[in-house]
Amino acid sequence: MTLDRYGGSPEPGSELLQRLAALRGRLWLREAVRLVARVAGATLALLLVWATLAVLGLGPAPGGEAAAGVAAVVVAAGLVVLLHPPSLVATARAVDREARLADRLGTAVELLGREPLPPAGGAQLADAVATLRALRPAQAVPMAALRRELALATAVALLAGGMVLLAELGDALPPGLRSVREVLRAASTALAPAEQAQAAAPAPSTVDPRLAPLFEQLEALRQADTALSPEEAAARRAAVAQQLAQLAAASRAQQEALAALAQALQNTVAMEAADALHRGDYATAAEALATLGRESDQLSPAARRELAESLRQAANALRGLNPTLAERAQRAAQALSGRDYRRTERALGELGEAIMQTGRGVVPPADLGLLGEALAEQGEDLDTALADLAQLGTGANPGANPSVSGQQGTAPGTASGAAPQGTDARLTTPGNPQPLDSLPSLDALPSAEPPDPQGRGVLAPVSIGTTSAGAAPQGGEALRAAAESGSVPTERREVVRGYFGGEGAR
Amino acid sequence: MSASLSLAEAPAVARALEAALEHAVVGQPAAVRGVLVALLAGGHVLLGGPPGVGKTRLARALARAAGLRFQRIAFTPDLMPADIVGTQVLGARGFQFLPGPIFAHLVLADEVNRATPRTQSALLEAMQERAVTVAGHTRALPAPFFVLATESAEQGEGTYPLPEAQLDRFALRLRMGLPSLTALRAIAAHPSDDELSVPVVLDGPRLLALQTHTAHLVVASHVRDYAVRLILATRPERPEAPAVVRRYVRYGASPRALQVLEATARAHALLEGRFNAACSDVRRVAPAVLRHRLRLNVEADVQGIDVETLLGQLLATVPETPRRWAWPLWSSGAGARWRVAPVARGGRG
Repeated sequence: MTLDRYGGSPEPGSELLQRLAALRGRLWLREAVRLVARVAGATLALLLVWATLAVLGLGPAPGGEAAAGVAAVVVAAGLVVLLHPPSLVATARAVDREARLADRLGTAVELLGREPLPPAGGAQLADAVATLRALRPAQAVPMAALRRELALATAVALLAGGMVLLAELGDALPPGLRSVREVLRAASTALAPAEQAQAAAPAPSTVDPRLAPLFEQLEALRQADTALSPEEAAARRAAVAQQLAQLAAASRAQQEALAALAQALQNTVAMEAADALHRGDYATAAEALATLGRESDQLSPAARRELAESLRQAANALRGLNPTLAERAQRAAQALSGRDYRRTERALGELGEAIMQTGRGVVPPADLGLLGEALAEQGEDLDTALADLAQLGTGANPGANPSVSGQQGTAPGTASGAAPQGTDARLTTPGNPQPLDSLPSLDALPSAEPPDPQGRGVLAPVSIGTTSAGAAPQGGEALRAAAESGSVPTERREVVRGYFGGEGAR
Repeated sequence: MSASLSLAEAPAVARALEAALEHAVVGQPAAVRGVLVALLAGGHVLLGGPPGVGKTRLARALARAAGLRFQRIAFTPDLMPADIVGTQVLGARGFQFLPGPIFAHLVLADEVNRATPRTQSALLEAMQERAVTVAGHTRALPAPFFVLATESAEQGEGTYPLPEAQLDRFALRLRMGLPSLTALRAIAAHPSDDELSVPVVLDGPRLLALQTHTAHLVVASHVRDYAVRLILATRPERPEAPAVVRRYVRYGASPRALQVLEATARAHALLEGRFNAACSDVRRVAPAVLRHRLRLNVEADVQGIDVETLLGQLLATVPETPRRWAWPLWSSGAGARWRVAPVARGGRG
């Protein structure tokens, strides 16, 4: 390389600037196109996503405003790039990089600003000018680099346009496109997370079916509230409260019978069944007793004796609560005292069946509590209703449960006739209903025991001592126990709200 | 041969010198280029490599092609400083100075790490000062003065490794590897005493002029900025240092390394036929400039990380254009950059 390439140009600086200025326009144009293509591609990609969601039915179709927005963004990008032309230094360095000129032009442009020119400055300027002369514009600023970006932007634009058209057509799609939309929707459904699918499914009613008619009566009362006189509405609510109390009393009696049996079986070889009874898992308890019966030949004589004695005590305790269960327990105790394994197996199996039968009569306390709250929401004074319930023993309610009707003369809400200590103010103060959300939630309570596999609440704590005193369980006590247990799962509150519609829900 | 050499002639003469050396030393173009870069930049070279790859031949060929007076000093453990720099002898007219072999244009210090540190120090001081002081008299070394030192296998028996401060006196540390198959075939067909047929391209004054022209080549601000960032990136305490440096480097390059980097980039540009140093020149000479100036730590030893690997990662990490957040269209003036394409690595030459 010699300086002859520079030749006789009198002013290398001016020639350099002229040639660079020509390249600057080309560079400016290329960068403008590049930026606009990128911005348009990105904006159209957003539009594509929007239109796809609309086709899948997950949002509104993009309208003319969306197209205007895309156009505005693209125009803004074009304006930005047009208002910011590249400098000559930037142009020189860009050409250096594009044409691999080893910083010749960038150095030469920088030299133009130096005063005085360094010793090799003139040669450098001449070299840069000679290099520029030999360089074609397509080599200096190649436009081919734009092809890929323009192709990408065009593809995105076509896709977005097609999807917008699909979204705009709605149900008026041609059959072919409709099937495409169905495929897309099916794919969207298949790809939706399982939680979303579960959330979309209707929530199953978790209220005990025995209480459903009472809820419906309350709902009918609420809707007909204005059509009824206050006295008539109160009378009907009191009737619902009485039915609720009867159900609660019956359930309470079954609960206490099972709890007495569980207490008796505790600390024996039937401990697994006792634990299941405490949890309210009667099926497991029955299965555990049946298994024990099948394997009774493996029990030691001492274990058999201990279990027989426990069952005998349980039979005595159950005699006033559940004669059937007491009789089965007594037979099981007798079988265990003998040496006939078949008889033992049969007796324990029958005891398990009796447990299952008794367990079916237990209404989950949480559901009872929900119905009580629903009554309170309609202004029903539960204590008044329970006081009315106390008159059941005098024949006020001919359809009452036999187990309840046999408990005449007992004060409502207590087993011994005295008001229990720590009674909830809501139950003792007339006309003071508590907000539903102020009740303690099951979620907030420590979970000491595993949940019932059937989704029911666990047994409310009962006192064997109370039942052993011969006092039959009362509906008021069962209700109060249910309310005080606070075991009202949040999801069930939603069920109650659903029963009473938007106005009743808070 | 004319004593004057214009700037316009400089690239061609440099290329002619390189061609002459490449003809004499077959299969070692990188070493030839490195030695010439150091020579044009006014630095010295520490040349390593297995025996028999042509180190001495390269030195002799260079001395002949550049018209330089050549001396070879075999560094042995019993070599004394006076054996290098010269000594005073009592003659008929009193004490007379007998100059040592260092008084030459091109000194081949063979196996420099076999001499004792004292002797090494004498040589290295002469390299730095370009003068020696004997019996209170300072005597300038001839110009041009160029030392090409070779070193035997590192940490070998009977060697005295050069300390870092003295290694820093060498502009470049080059390594000559074993030649390729093609090169070996050419060597086999080459006469063994071929260095005598190397054409004389230069003489001392013209080489000095070539060195002066090299020093006058232009370095643009962004190229200098790249060199600075490269040097800073070798320092583990700096935030801009890449992770590999922070992890494996004990200490990085000195300011002298930056000066050498710029000077050798100029020389490389001249050999490429340009009057400006480019980022690509900096990138090409950086390994030879930095490999003996970086001190790796114990972890690098344990992990088996050598300086070549680290330099490769360093050069791959430090961009020629600093990565700062800036919309290209907003840049203007001297600092303007258009990030329009990946950074080109090669020079057009």
